[in-house]
Amino acid sequence: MNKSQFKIITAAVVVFLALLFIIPIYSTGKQEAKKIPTLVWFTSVQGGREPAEQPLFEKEVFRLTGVKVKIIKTTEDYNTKLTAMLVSGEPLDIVYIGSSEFEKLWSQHLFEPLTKRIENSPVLSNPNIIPKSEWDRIRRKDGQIYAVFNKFEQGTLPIVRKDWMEKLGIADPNTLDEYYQMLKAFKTQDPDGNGIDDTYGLAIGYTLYDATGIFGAYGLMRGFQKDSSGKLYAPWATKTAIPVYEWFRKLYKEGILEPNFITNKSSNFRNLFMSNKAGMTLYWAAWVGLFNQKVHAENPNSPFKARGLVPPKGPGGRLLRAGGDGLMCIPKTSKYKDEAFKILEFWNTKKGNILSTLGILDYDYKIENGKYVLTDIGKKHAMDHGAPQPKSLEWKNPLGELEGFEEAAAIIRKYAKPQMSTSYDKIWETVVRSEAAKIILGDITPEQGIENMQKRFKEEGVYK
Amino acid sequence: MKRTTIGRGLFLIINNSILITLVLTMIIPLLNVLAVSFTTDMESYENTIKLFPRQPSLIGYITLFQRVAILRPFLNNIFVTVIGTFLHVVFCAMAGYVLTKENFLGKAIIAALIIIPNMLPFEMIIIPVFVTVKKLGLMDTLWSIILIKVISTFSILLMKNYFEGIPKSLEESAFIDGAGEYAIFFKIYVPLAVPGMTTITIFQFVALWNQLLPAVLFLNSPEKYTLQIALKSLVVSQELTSTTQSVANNTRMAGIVVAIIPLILLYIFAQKYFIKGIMVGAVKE
Amino acid sequence: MKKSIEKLWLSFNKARVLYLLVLPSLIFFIIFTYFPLFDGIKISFQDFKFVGKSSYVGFENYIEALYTPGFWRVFRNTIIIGFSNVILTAFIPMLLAVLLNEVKFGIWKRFSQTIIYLPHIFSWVIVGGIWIFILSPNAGLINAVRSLFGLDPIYYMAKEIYARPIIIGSNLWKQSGYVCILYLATIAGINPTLYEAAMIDGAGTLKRTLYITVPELLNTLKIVLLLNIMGSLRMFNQIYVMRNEVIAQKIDVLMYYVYERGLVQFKIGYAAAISMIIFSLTLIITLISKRSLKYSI
Repeated sequence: MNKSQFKIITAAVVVFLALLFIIPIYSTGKQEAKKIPTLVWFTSVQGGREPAEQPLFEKEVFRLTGVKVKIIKTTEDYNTKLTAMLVSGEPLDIVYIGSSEFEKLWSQHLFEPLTKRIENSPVLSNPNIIPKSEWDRIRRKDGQIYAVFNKFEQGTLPIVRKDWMEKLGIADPNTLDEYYQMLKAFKTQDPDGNGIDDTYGLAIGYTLYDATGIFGAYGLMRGFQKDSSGKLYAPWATKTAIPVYEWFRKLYKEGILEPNFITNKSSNFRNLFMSNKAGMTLYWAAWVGLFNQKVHAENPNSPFKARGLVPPKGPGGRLLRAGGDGLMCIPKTSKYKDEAFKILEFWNTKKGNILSTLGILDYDYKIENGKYVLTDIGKKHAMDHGAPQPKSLEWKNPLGELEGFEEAAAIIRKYAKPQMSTSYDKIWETVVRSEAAKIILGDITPEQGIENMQKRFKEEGVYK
Repeated sequence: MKRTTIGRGLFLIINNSILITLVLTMIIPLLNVLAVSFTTDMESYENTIKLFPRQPSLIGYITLFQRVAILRPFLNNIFVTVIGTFLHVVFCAMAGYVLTKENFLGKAIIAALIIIPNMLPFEMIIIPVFVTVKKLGLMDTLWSIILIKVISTFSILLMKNYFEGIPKSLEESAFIDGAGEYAIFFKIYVPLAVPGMTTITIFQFVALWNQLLPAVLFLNSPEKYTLQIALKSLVVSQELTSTTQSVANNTRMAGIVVAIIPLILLYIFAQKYFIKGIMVGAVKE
Repeated sequence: MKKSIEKLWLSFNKARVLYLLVLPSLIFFIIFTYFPLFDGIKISFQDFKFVGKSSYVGFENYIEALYTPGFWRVFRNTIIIGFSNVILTAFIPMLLAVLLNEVKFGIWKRFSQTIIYLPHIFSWVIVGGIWIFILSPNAGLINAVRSLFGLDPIYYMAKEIYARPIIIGSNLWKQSGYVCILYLATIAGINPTLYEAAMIDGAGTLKRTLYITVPELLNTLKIVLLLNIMGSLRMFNQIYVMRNEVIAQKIDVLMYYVYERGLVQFKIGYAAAISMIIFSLTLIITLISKRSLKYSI
C-alpha cells in the first residue's frame, strides 16, 4: 500500500473516533449553558404517570412555582443509580429517599440540614398542616431535620372481599380465630359460585412482607424495636410470636394460604385478589380504592367489593404498620438550595397537593364552573402523581377518594404505628422472611425458627 | 440388518420424545406469553397457563403503544442496537485480523490487553465506569450505552479464528500483486468473513437489544429511554412503593412480545450464516 | 544502541497498519475497562466516603471479607454452582447434539434446532419468570404432572435442597441450545467419507458415534469448557431474578454479594475489595485451565 492511502485512512479513523467523543460532549455542554437554572429532581415515585408524560409534569411545576425542574425517575435500580450519581458528584437538587436508606446514608453527611428553613416557612411550620410531633419524629440526634415529607404514608391492613363475606353471611371478624374461620370459608364454600374449588382464603407475597396486622394481635411490630435498656430486638423473633406462626402454619397446611406466598411479587397476589382467586390480602390502604376502580372499569356490573378490615384483636390489642416515611432531601452539593426548598414547600401547599394528586391542569383535570373534573387520562392516572394522599392535614380531595379508601384510611389512622427505621432493616427482612417461610412451610418448628433468627442476627452484627 | 432396524426404531422413538419434551418446555411458555398479551385486562389477571385467550382483545397492545408510548423507546433501541452492532463488527473484525498475524512487535501485550477484560464483569466496576462516562460527558446520551460495550473480547477471538480459516495462499497472491495490508484486509478477508461477521452481529445485536443496567444508569431523560427500561418498569412491577398504579398483565406480555419479535426474526433470517460462522469461527481450533 | 532503536522503529513501522487496526479496541479497553479497574483497586483499599476525602485503610477491607462468614458462604455457593455449570453445560448439550444429529426428518430437525436456541436470546428477567411459574406449587407445569400421579405438590422454589439444582438446571436450559449449535456445527464439518467407510465396515450408529463423532467433538469441548470457566464466577442476573429469601443462603453468589454489600448496604470499599478477589480468582482459574487444556489464542 502506498503512503497517501495510509495517511487518508489514518486520518479518517482518527476523525471518526474523535467525533464519537466530541459530539456528545458538545451537546451536553450546550445544555449546561442555559441561563435559568434547571433543578435536578431524583425520585422513584411518580404515581400513575408514564415516563413519556414527564415533560408535561415538569412544565406544570414551572407554571406553578417558576422553578424549572428536570425529573429523573428510576424504580428498580434506584440505589445503584443514586450511589453512582452521588459518588460521581452528579448535580442533584432534590432527592427522594426511603427512611431506611436515609438511615444508612445519614452518617455520610450528604444532606443539607433544613431545620431553619422549615421554621421560617409559613407552610411547613404551620401545625395545622404538619404537626410538630411529626417533625420531631424525623429529627436526628444532632437536633437537625434533614428532610421534608413526601406524602401521608398510610399503612397496610387486611383487605377483604366484602361481597364474599355478605354472600356467605360472615360478620366482621374480631379475633385471630374468627379471621381463620372466615378465610376457611373463602376456601371451602365456593364464594365465587363457579362450582370449582379454586379459591384461597389469603394471598400474600414476599413471605410475610406486610403481616403486621396479624402479628399485631400480639402487639408485635415489624422490624426492630428498642427495649427499655435501649438495645435492639426484633419482636417477630421472640417467643411471643409463636402463636402467630402457628396460625399461619395452620392456614398453609389446610390450603387456605395461597401457596406461592414466598415467590409472589406484589402484582401476583394483587392479581389473585382481583381475579376471584383469593378472599383476602394484606396490603396498602390505597389499593382498596384501586382494586375497586380497576375491576369496575372493565366490568361495571361485577359484584366485586374490596374493603379494609379492622385488624384482629388479641392479647396485645390491635396494631397495624404505617408506611415508612418517604423523604425529600436537598444534597449539600446542590447549587440551588433556595429553589429546591421552594419546591419542597410548594409540595405541601394546597396547589402542590392538587398537582401531586389530580395532576396537570387541562391534561389530567379541567376546571368547569369552578369544579374539578378528571379527563380520561386523569382517570387512568388514578389521582396519583407522586403523593396521592398528601401529608397536609388540611388536604381534602375535591373529587372524593376512590371507593372504600376513606374507611380504610380511617382504620390506618386509628391503629397504625410506623416501624422504627434502623440501618439493619434489610438484614431483618432477609433473616425473618427466610426463617418465617420455613416455619410456615412446616420445615422447622417455630421455636427452631426463632432460634435461627437470633443466631443470624448475631452473625450479621446486629446486636453489637 | 432387521435387528438393527428394530433397535434403531426404538432409539428414534426415545430420541424424539426427549426432543419433543424439550421443545415443549421452550415453546409453551412463549405461547402463554403470546396468548396473555391478547387477553382483556381482567382475564390477564388469572394465574394459569393459557394457550389461547378466551376473549381475544388488543387492549394490551393499545395500552402499550398509547399510554406507555413504547414506540419511542423501541426506536431508541433500534438506533442503539444498529449503530452499536455496526461499530462492534467493524472494530472487532479489525482487531481479530491483527491477532492472526504472527510475531509483530508488541503482539503479546496487545493480546493480553484484549483477553483480560473478558474476566471483568461490568457489574463489578460499575461505579468507576459511571465516573468515566460522566467525565467523558456522555451522561444521558444514547452514545453512552453504545460505546461502553462496543468491543468484546469474545467477538475479537471469534473473528480471529474465522480469519485463520481463510487460506493464506489468497493473501500471498494478492501481496505479489502489490496490494497493501489495508487492501488485503478489506478486499480479501472481509468479504470472505461474512459468516463470521454475521455470527458476531447476532451476538452483539442480542446483547445490545437486551442491555438494561447501563441504560438505567446512564440515561435520565424519558425521551432517551430504551426498550428495556420501559419494559422493566412494566414487567417487574414497582414493588414496594405503596400506591403506584400499574398496568395489567396483558400489557406486560405485549411488551415482552414486542421486545422479542425482532430477535426471533433476526435469528431466523440469519440462521444459515450464523451456524456456518460459528462452525468456522468458534469451533475451529 | 542507535542500531537497536532503528531496528525497533523498523519493526514498528512494518506493523503500523496492524496497530491502527487494533487501535480502536485498545482505546476502548483502556477507557472503559482499565481505568475503571484501577479506580476499583484504589477504592478497595479505602474507607470510601461519598463526600470529602476517603482515607486509605490498607488491606482492612480484604481482611474483613476473609473473616465474614457470609463471604465464605457465597464463596462456597459460587464454587459449587459454577463448577456444576461448567461441567453440565459442556456435556449435556454434546449429548443433545448427538441425539439431534440422528434425527433424519429434515423439517423437524431444523425446527427443533431453532427452538432450543431461543432461550439463549431471552434475558434472564423473562427466563427466570418462566421457571418460577413452571415450578409453582399450584399453577405450575411440574406439579400438574405430579398431581396426575396423585402426588402432593412441592414448593420447589422454597426448598433449600432444590435451590441449587433449579439454578443449575435453568441455566442449562437457557444455554444448552446455544452450546448444542457449536457441537452441531462441528458434526456438520466432519468428513462424510469417514462415516461411509465405517458403514461399509458394518459399524452401527452407536459405534459410529463413539468412534467418529465424539473424538471430533473434543476440540469444541475444550473451547466450550474454557468459555464456561471464564463465565462461571460472573453469574449475576440469573440469581438476581430467581432468588428469594428462603433459598438465598444456598444460591447467593459472589457477584450478588458484591451488589448487595456495595449498592444496597452502601459499603463501597468492602464491595470493591470483593470484586478484586473475584477478578484475581478468575484470572488464576483461567490461566490454569488454559494451560491444562493446552489452548492458546
